[in-house]
Amino acid sequence: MSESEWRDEIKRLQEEIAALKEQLKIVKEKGERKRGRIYIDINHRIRDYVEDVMEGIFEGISSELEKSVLIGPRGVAIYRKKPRVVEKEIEGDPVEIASIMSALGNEHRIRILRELMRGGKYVSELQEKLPEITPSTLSSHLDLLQDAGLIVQEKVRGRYLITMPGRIAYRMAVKIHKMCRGRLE
Amino acid sequence: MRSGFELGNTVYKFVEDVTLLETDKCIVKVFKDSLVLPLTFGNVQGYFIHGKGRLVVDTIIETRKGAFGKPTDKELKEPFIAIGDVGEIKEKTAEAEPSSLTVLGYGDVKALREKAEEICREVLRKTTFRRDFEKEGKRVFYFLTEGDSYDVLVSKENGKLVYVSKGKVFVFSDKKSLFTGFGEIVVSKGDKTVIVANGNVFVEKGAT
Repeated sequence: MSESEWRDEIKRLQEEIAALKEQLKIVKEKGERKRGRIYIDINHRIRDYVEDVMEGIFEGISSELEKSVLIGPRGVAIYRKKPRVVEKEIEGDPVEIASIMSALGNEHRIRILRELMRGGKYVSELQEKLPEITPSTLSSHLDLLQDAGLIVQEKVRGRYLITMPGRIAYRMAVKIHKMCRGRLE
Repeated sequence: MRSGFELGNTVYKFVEDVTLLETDKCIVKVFKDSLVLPLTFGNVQGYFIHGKGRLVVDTIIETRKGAFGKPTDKELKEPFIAIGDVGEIKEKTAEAEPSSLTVLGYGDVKALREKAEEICREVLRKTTFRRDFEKEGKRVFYFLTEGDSYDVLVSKENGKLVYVSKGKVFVFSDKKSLFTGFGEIVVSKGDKTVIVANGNVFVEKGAT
């Protein structure tokens, strides 16, 4: 090999080395960029552990929500304090409560209350609105609702009117129905 | 006799059932064989009545929260006084025989007049309504109740009604209604209603 050929060979090798150095520099830069990321291979045990923790947190949140938030058909009601009043209101003689509530336990009586929610009515008007109920059955339903204090009858004109407890009972029944139906669905 | 009222001398008895007052809110009925003694308060005609009868008052107020109150339905056994325009009753009465008085515990006419006088005095002593007796279309009833207290019913032709009974006050008119009793107070004036019931106070605005 001549001297000029040696020089050409050295020059080519120097260029290769320069090229390799450049590539090495690029690789180093890429490596530094990747250094911020952490890749963890989650095996089953870690996944189960995380799921257990998350489940615990959700249970805690649900419990707190049940205590302080009522989600009803018309929206969300938030209690600032624990609803102690509700606990106080449910006190009472279970026999008497059951007696009054039993007045709601019939679809015809619910229909009667719904009609009276729209305004006072005579028996004839109720009969017209509720043709599926026979006159004698309608009369006994009205007596039962009146005995429970959910409706009252005018003595002079004979109209039936829904009372405040009657309105509350009807609304309560409708709300419970909506809430239960929502959960079942 | 104290000035302010004057009793008649003849005692009559009803020969048929008579409705002395009937409105959308109340009925006062007297049944056959009840005794009646005419009297006057100033220029206003009145009657002392004793026998059997029936008083019905719909002491109920309708609100958007529901109806409050219960109807009053009483059998009238004790004597009462009716003052004002209670309709023409002459044609429905006949002079009472002594036996009719005896049935109700009066030995004679004098005894019945004494009872009537006693009640009239009591009415004048206790009531403030007597000033308004002469207003046209006004009818006032004083019902003697057990325990020597009185229920008072005032009715006007324009539909206004006031009924005061033991523990219960009911005022009704087109624009204003009030009911107190059974632990509830309901006041309704125009489109405003205030309700005090079960330890709660409700204030409403809007048509009932």
